[in-house]
Amino acid sequence: MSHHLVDFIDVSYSYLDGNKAIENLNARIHHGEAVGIVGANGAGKSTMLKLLVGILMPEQGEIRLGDLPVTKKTLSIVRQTVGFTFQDPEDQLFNITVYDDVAFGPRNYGLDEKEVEKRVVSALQTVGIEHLMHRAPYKLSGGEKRAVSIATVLSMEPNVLAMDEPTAALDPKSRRRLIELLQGFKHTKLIATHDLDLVMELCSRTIVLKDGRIEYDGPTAEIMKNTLLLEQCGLEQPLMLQGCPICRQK
Amino acid sequence: MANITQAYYKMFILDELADKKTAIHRINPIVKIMVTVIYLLMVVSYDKYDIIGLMPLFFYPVIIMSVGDIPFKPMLAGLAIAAPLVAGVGMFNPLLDRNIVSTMFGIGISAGMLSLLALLVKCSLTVLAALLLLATTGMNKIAAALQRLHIPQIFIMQLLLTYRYISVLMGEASRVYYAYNLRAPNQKGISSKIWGSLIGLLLLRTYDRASRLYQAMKLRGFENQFFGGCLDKLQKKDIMYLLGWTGFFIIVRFINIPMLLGVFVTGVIK
Repeated sequence: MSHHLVDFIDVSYSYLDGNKAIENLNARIHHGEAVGIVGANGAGKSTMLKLLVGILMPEQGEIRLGDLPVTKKTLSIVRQTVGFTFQDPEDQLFNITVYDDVAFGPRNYGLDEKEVEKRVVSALQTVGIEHLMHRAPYKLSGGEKRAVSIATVLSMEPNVLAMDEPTAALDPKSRRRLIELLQGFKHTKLIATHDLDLVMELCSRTIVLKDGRIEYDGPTAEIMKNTLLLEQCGLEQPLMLQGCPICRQK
Repeated sequence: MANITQAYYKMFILDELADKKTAIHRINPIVKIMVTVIYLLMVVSYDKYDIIGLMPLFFYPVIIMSVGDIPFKPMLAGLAIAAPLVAGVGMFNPLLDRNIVSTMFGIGISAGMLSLLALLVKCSLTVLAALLLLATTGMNKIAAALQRLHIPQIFIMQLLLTYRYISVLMGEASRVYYAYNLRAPNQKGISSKIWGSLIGLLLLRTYDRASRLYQAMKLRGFENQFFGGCLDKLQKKDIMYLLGWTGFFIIVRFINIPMLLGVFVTGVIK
């Protein structure tokens, strides 16, 4: 049984006020693929990721991880398979020390303390913040909090990483470190973001959402050149593709 | 309200103090909880006018603070929150119980005043004991010890989540307060006209934030259970600590040491 394929099959979701957040969404994401999910505010990016991890349940259609449908009964396995990081890392950090936060998931899955420690150390080493192990999360910088929030999901050893605005509120250096870190991950990655430069660097494929529908699904390099479509979807070209603001040369 | 952000950060001081490695911190959390419970029972068992009898019980917080290297300031902050509530409860005692039981410098002291004072002393002792337990043990270890004592999971989770919710509430209150203050620089505090809407907003915001935290917990396999982590086995020093303090509490409860001292001192002077 492979959990590495992620399938959105004719998925629709509306909020309680009747507002359609996702409409007839179809997408298949393959093992190891890095997919950027972009779109204007309210396009349905975060909703798509929340549907994937079962925070929200589709009103129509189905989401599958390989053979496994995402249902209330399978949530435990789904959430072990997909690691989800929130837009605000503070929402993920609620323990007294970084160690306890990273250990929270493995402990909940009933691993013994030795295995928990192994996983915590390994996750912290992967994101390069082993030295923060005994620090209080609320005292960390934005970049460090983001790194800890990634470590909290890595300790669960997921196959798929779903990240909501991973570079939001990061300074340029922290952002660069995060990109380099993510480039090193072999996981399947779904990254919902407004940071199109990040998508250019990390994702070979991009899904553009507009009003809950897929407007484009294909190679990143192509869509980033399509200024008209980007504009129609409330986006603009990544800065790296725009001309120099001073000499206008690309 | 002006120092709400400071209060927010002060909240975490107790957790930070719990990371120290003093002799008190190394005592088994189960034993510390037991000693605290015995102490609380002793404090509340005193007669409502018995202030003198309570005095020797101040030894406990003083010794824990000095051996555990716990600063008094954060303890005082905790007392400052609890004392007005207790004072509110007991403020009518002097009006309801007006029997003069003693005079001091020619001023009559009513039984109601004594009982109010005793109430405040009891409040100080009990709040200090609870804060010191937190500052020398930490909430996670307290929860682990409660689990070992077979306290139902639901109560432990309630305790942990409430403790965390307070920090969420204070964090949001601090943001709302700053947002308000930046657009009302000439005001002192928050206008009473918008208290209602502001509190409503605060509750909605904290509810949203708490929901997101809960989602984050659920995503990492949380099923309303608590895995307490490791607690050391009971050692000789833990048993000694328990017996020592229990013995001390029993002695001061049944032998009025301040009175004996008074008799001894006045006898010597005579």
